[in-house]
Amino acid sequence: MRHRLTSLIAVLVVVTAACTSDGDGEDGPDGNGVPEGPSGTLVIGNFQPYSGPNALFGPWMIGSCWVAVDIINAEGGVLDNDLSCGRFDSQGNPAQAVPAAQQMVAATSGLVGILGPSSDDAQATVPVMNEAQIPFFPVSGLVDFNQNDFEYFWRVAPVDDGKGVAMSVVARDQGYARAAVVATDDPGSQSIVPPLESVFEQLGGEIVSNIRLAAGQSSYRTEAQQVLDADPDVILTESDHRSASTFFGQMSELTDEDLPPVIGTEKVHEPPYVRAVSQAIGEEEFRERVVSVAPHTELSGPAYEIYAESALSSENVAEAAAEGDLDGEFLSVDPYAAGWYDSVNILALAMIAAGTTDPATYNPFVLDVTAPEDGKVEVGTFAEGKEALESGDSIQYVGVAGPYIFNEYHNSSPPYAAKQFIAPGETENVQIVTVEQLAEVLSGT
Amino acid sequence: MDLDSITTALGFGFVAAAVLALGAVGFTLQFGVTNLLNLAYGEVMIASAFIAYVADRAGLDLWVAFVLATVSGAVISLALNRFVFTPFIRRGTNLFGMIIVTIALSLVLQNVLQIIFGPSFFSIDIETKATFRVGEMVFTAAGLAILGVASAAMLLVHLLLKMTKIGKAMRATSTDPVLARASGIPTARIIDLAWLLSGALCGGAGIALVLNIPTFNSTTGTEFLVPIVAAAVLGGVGQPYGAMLGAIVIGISAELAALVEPAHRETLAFIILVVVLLLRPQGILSEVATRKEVVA
Repeated sequence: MRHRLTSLIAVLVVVTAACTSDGDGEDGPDGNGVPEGPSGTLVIGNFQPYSGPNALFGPWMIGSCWVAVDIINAEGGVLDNDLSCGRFDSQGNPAQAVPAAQQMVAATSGLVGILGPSSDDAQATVPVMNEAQIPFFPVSGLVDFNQNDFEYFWRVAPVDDGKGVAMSVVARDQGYARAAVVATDDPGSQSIVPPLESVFEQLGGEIVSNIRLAAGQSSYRTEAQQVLDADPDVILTESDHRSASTFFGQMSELTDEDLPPVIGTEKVHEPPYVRAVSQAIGEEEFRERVVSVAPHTELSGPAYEIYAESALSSENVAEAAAEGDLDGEFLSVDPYAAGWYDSVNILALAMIAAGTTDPATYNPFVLDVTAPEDGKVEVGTFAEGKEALESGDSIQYVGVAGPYIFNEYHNSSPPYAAKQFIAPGETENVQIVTVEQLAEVLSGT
Repeated sequence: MDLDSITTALGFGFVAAAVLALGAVGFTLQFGVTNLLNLAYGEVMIASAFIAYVADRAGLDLWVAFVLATVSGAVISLALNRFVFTPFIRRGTNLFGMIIVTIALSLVLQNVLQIIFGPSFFSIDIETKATFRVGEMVFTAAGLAILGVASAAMLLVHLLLKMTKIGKAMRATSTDPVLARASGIPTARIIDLAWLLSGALCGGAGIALVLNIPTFNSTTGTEFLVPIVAAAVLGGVGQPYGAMLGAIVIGISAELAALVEPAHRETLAFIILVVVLLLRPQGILSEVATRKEVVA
């Protein structure tokens, strides 16, 4: 009896093993020994806040993802698989974000890449995503990641200290000599302060006030009065939209004169910030006073035209963006949206170059399809890249907002532009700060 | 940090304290009578503020909007008690369970507001942009209005509690509901009145808050709840006069702390709270707390 039971168990084990091996092509090597990875509908996870104080960021990002995915699917997908954009709510704080990230990587069938996380929770969730061995593009400029050993981390977002340097250069070049620094006390905002202060002073300026705001307060009148009393030429700032609207709104109440000019990071022209602060100080005042220093992207050319057309015509984009009160028109002119669009294309082309959708296997090919090298074909769109790869060529994907030159820590840095706000989705370049200028200034620090 | 800047900060602190007082007195009144820690209070504040916003956008006078906010807060609070909290209490839900109910309600209200109004930002426009100086203190028109309304509201609360039968009944119910009922006080009706009064103050605090800050959205109430609760606890839970005092301490200390280190503007206030509670666990003025099972 016992012998028969043992034999039965052994047969069941063998049959079970046979049934689960390579039956559907998942996670098993193809004929060339390359793991095949997921098939069917592949998911690009969009890990951002969709609720809470930063709820606008989620729809902004997933809308950008759909711009890329709609084009990719129309061009035949990736290795005969369609892509889709998955929505995963980080809620903008580590306590909720970590379990959400863990659930995303553990329970999402077909997850092959991730856009995110954001600075709110990156320090907690980057290790989770890296451990899951899925390539991800963080939307965080935290300097903590300037040097890192996360193999699956690919950052095209500009680092915070680079922004601080660029802001100081712009302030100097615009003729300002006395600056007040106003930044909220979160890590992302505070990380730009040291380089901003040191470079501004190195360039001959004076920091007359340095205010570290406790985020999300209902009154900043005391702080605003301190800044006014210091009589700055310019305010250099990085903060969340809520704190900024309270601070600048209450500052404008305390003075009969115009507010000092404000130079901020790209945040100051993001939709939540524009809405909150222009609501607080007036649209015209905002337009005249607030300049952003943001990564510079030439939104023109054939690659951009394809991107813009998808942003404006896609129903998926319209549906995703509407949740955040955005639209395709904004996405079509926003450099950050263009960067996220390029990130999806990079992931897709890396999979094609590797011949597999297995994230751990195609991860190194992210570098392969972006690094410049003699003999490579420079491509601006997914379609061009796919055609070149299928023809046996090596490619350098430049896309809409590239090129993307990743250093040894998988960080890619852009040039910067100072921009005046004209209308939602429309800005005018006031000044360009080139990569060479940044390097020259940094060599003096 | 000179005397002039301290005086300026004091002026800002008075306005902050006025907003806090409206909220904290309402919060502690309700807690004192019902023994329910209502963490959805901030959302009721902001819901009332949105009612005022809609009224303002419809072209109604700001004072009409204020009254509407106050009435909305009262109605919403009463309705929540009747249709949400009371059924749970009747089912025997314990104190901790009720706190979870209020947290859940807070999330629901916040998301309902976000669904209705979206994740954008709103403001109630005030026509008068002038500022007024009293020595080194600077006040906006809205700030002066808030000070006036809060002072009037505190006076009315005082008169109600000290000079009316209803006020006496509320104090009795707060002190010992069983004895109050046995003495013939209709405690169920008194509790309803407490919710109405607390809700009215909550609604008033909501519109005062959004007049004091340039913009607001569906999550603003949550962030303001912490200093409200702190002011109520500092003064002694269930003790309206204590809540007024707590609001003054927290409002002013936050502005003074901002002179030294803005990033820690709330730290000083909470240090004061902890020290006071270490020395006097029932709060500054309360003699009721020891009977409320809120101290270990």
